[in-house]
Amino acid sequence: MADNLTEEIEFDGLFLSIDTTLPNKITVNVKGRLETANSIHFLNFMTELINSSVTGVDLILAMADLYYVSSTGIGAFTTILVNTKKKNIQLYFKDMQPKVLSVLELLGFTAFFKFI
Amino acid sequence: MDYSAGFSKLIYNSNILFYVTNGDGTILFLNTFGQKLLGITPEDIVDGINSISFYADPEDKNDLDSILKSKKSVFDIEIRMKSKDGRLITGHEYGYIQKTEKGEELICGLINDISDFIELNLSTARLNIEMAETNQKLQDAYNTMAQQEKMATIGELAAGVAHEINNPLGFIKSNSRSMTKYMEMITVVFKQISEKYSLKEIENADKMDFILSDIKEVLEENGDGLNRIAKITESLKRFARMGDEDVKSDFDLNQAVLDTLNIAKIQYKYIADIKLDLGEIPPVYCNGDSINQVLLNLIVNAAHAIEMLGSKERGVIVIKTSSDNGSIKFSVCDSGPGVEDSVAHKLFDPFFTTKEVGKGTGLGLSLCYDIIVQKHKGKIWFENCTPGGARFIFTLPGKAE
Repeated sequence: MADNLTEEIEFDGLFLSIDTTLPNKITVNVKGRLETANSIHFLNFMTELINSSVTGVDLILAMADLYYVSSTGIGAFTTILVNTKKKNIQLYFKDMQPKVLSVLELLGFTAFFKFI
Repeated sequence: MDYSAGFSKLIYNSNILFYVTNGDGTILFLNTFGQKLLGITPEDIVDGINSISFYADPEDKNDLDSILKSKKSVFDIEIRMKSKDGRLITGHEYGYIQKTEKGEELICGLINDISDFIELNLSTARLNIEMAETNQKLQDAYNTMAQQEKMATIGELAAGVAHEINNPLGFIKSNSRSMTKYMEMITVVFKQISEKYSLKEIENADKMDFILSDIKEVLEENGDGLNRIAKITESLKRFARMGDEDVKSDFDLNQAVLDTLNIAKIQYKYIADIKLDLGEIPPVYCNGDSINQVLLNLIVNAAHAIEMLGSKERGVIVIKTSSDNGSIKFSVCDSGPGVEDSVAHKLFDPFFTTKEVGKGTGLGLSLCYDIIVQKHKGKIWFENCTPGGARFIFTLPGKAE
């Protein structure tokens, strides 16, 4: 395992790892399903990461392999966004699956997030 | 004891959707609440309406079926449905597969409508985001104001210092001119004395020819130095003139460029040459103090960009002004490393800087953006130059616009 890539950890079908290969960018690989049951673990994980990150970095959630997000998961995204704004960290959603994006659209949240 | 009658009542009368479908999703049973929630009639059920038509995303139904196939039950899965009239419903679904005596697989389940709860939570989430955005805007505005206040204070100080320097400078220049005239007279007198009398006995008389010619050069140099000081103080006074930033008047942009170059000279004179291409432009109707601030930021940024290369060769800063269809265009192009595509979209964001720690606040370009775009309805943008470096351009509308 490279120094700039952490081991993958699992929370009930949700898999997370952190990649810091790119300078001034923290990429969190989010895989699997973000459901009601594991959203709280995801939020705790991200909150800890944001609190330990320096102001001004880019935080990228790479979601090419995230296939399901519940409304609690959307709630977790919004809390993460608020926390990043407080620390002047820019949050990006990368490679979001159309199915997951459609949920965000359906609930009227796409305008708040930046997609790459 | 047989509880089935009680459960039956519960199923028919509760505010939870109970259903039974066959393997392909055709609804066989839907309780009264379910029919009301989805907007369907008993006739629709008799006609064999399929449950997949009520899923907001049919993929969700397929996902659910595959979980049911593998686990034979689903527990607390969140689903999104659409009623017949298009209303979005969020529910928690519980279901299991029941085999009939004939071996047919039926899906029995219940869906708890949590739409109101979710909408409340998501509304709170939206409010939280909007509040965070408002807070961020307030913080940005405060920082910009603090920076402007700082710059205004520095400007006021600079204007005061320039004024204080100007007074003694006036009499030093006057004395210097008198001294030059006196020295010319002394030189003539000394020449006549040395022609009439022998000065061999007088100490250092042999060095007088050199001293008199050198004094002339020294006084000329002094004169040049004093003129330069005068030019700088004049530029500072013009540049740092205090005023209301909303007040606009006709402004000589070319003169402002020259003034700014005078003030910023220390930033570029050891690292870059300036190439000026100042076109014939009409006066610009703008707030001169703010535009001076923009010019200073862009020119200092150009110098810093060249410095970042760390090259021993001198760089070049090309400054152009021109007029096009009434609008005024200014550009400054440096021979620095240019701007990476990955950060280009952030250049005008507050606090974004590519400079080393302590060299930039990250507010300069956002301030420029605010002054040009918000305060003057102009445009500001950048482009990478070939073979290297960045060009920052702004345009200001003509008076009539």
